[in-house]
Amino acid sequence: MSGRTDRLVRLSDDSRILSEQDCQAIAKRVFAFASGGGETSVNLMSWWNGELRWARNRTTLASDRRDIRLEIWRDVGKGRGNVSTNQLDDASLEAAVRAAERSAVLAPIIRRPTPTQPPLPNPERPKTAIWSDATYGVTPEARGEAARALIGPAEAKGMQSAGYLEMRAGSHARLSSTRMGTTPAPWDIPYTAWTQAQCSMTVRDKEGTGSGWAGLSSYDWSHIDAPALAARALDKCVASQHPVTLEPGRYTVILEPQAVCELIAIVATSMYREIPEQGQGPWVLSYDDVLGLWRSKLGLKVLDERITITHDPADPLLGIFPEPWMEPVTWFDKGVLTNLSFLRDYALEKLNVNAPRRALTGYRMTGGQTSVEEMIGTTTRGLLVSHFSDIRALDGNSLLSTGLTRDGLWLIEHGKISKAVKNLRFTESPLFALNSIEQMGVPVPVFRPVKNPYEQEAPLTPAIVPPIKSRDFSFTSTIDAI
Amino acid sequence: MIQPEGNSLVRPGFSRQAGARVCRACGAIVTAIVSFAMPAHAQTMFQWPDTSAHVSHYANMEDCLAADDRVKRSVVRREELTVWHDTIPINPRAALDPEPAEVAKTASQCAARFVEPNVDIRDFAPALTLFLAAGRDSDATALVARRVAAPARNARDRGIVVDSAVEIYLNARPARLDAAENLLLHRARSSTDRVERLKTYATLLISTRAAGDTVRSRRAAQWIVSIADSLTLADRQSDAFERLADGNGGQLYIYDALDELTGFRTRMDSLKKSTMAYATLERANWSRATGERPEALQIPIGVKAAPLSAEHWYPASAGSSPRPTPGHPALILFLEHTSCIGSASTSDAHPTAECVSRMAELRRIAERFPSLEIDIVMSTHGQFMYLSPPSPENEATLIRDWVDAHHVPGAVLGVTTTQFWRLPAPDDRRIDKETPNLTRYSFGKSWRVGSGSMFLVDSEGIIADAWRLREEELGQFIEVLLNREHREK
Repeated sequence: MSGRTDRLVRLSDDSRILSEQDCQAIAKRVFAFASGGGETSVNLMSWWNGELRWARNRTTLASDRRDIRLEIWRDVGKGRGNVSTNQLDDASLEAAVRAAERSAVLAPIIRRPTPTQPPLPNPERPKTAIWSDATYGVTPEARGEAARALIGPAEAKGMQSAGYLEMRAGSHARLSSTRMGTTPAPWDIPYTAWTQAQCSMTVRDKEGTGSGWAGLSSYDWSHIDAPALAARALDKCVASQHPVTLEPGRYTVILEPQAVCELIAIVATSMYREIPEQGQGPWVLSYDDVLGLWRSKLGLKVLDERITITHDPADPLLGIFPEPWMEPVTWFDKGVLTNLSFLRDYALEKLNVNAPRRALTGYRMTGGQTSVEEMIGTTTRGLLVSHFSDIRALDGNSLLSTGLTRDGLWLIEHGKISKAVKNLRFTESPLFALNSIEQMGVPVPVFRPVKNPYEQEAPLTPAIVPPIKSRDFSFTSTIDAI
Repeated sequence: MIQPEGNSLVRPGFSRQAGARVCRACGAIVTAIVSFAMPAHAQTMFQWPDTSAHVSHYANMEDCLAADDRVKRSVVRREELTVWHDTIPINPRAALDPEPAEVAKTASQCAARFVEPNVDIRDFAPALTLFLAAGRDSDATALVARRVAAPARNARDRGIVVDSAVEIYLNARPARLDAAENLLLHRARSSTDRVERLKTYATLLISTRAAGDTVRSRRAAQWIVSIADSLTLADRQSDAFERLADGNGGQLYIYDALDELTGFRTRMDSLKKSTMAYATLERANWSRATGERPEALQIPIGVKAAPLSAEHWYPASAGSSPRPTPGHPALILFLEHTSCIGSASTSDAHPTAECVSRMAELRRIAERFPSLEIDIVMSTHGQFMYLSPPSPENEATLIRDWVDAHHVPGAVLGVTTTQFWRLPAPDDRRIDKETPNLTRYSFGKSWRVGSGSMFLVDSEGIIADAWRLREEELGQFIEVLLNREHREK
């Protein structure tokens, strides 16, 4: 028998993830090893991750990694066992199938057979734009060149830069021995391949008095203008040097798109029907004594009427991971709460609809035509916020949150930026900010990559949001960090 | 692309159709040869391995209990592979069965290193559990005595210790009813709070009855009735009394105790005479337990059964005559498929164990009493498992298929189309109206009909008993009613 290392799969540079044909061929080989009857299903994931990280203008990490995860499920008698591996030679696959069969007996998932089984519904999956050859084609050398172009201008001005460049691709398929070549079941996953790119950069002066940040993520690397991001981070750093301390209080704020996205992220986590219908969260209206149930604010105006937040899987700029029963959804229509997400059993029981409403992940928020410069020009006294960090919820019912401004905060006086300001802690509800809007700008894509880079199944969660000017935003303390 | 060493995924130039034909032919030949030449490997592949625990390196009580629990779970799991317990009649004396030999052996071996007098009193709960599992009852008794005698901050703390010990005694296999009773009696007699004592005796009644020990349960019932007679009006109106029996009030304990004291045989004797005689007996018990008028009995015994209505009858001919049929004893079962079938989110919903158990029980009853009329009452909800049926007729057909799959001989199914309305859009939630059957069978009382509720109706259309029927009792009730019918004819 060959040595253990000989069993590892070789992945060539030009094909770093499994193709659809690869997945089907592997699945067929696994199914052929199964013995004793019963269903066999495989969950095949492959991923590639090319990244480059730098700090103090020098590369600290440059890697190009890839792996495969094969999960095998075997139904044996009344039990179901599973095992996972990344070794795809015949001997390893057979051993894995045998291990799954053993686990079906040793640790079975006892499932009573259903006495009657009507035909399963066949959900549609939307076609979404989540694959980019431009992202997939970026080589380690190209990443190095891109980083050099990002670091160069900052270094030339005597600044320190740190940043992260990443290109990822992945594929996923879940196939069953009983449904090969036939209509898939809702829990089967037809072959799906996706890409994601992200670029973010922080520039600081050597004295540590100024900091600028810029970043963008997209499934398509060609959508990311890396030199423009580098210039923006550098400009912000220069402009934010030597900040003054400003007394906390209520200020008119101009929130750049990134700051808006970070502020309203907590709103997305509350968009579930079950929460208000159990009498909790920001969308609960009141208890209906006659019907004995909680009414929600669905259908009521809850935000500024200029705000519409939608989610269209077919939006080519959003790039949302396709899920069954995924449809275009308008969450807020001109400030009116029109949708909350729910699970499929809720849909069947309460609405008699055979489809869940997928959670608000990727979204597009409407805006206006006012540029940030115009917003500044019309502000007597206020603050310009680049972005926030460390935001956390303080109260689930009002969504009152707290967090810090970061990488650039400026005081606006009489229509002009007058000085850089030390960072502040805010304590405010995004709902209050979204109800106190004075002006809105043109929506743009923002930096919102998958949070856990090793969670290969995580759906892509892009967002397109506008800058906004909001009054009476509450800052509660000063922060020394730049 | 992917090149596993030594294997090519698709051979170049290999036509798929041709390959498939060749493979099918080869497969058939190989299968034929293998079937004749070799024993079936699949039959012998899955040998249960040695799962006995090696306890020599377990140093403390928790490790021993965990090991014992692992052995117990492996025994249960092995059994579950061949036995669906929820389709088998409940063994009323299961609590008195000993632990499987390998579980007791593991506990005994692991507990051997722990000597009772040396056990730290803070390890009371795990030590007591382990001693009982190992069959060292005298050590368990000594440990409990030591723990109860240890200083406590107040009476409440001491009560908690006794509660813990009683729970461990009752959960042990076999349940140590003697020891639990001694502790509870000691506690009850040392308390001056009558409501507290009532609760203690009720605990004893419930646990001993569940274990099938009728002598002890009757004794506990007697104590409950004695206490009940001494309760003052203030006691009965106290919050503590109202909180008893899961918030339904202590009068339920008293009613239960009176029923226990009346005795099943006496109750059956009165039912043999007439349903109204039985109803009078039950109403008298209720009146004595609650102080209310006899007719206030929440269980509709002695009440005329309302005719069932349904839009869809299976078989269809069943709808042409009134149900329950006058002149025949009938068993009416209310069921809701929405609570019978598990969560639909997984797309392969499975029936709940409770529901399976109910249908299996019904099948046994139907097979045992072929002349008994069985009416299953269900209603539509606009969904079935993972489907949203397009019409009530379609849903009724799916319900019929589901009921048919449980093979209850002679059962008649009536499906009511549930009327509903929706909250205004975009909420759109469906609000069901109560079906006429549910309204009629609630009889204006506060206890409402739920999924799984049963009503046993005599040949005169009078309800003989409802809701609380267990299979063993139910069989005797039906036998009496059928014998009465036979006698009358």
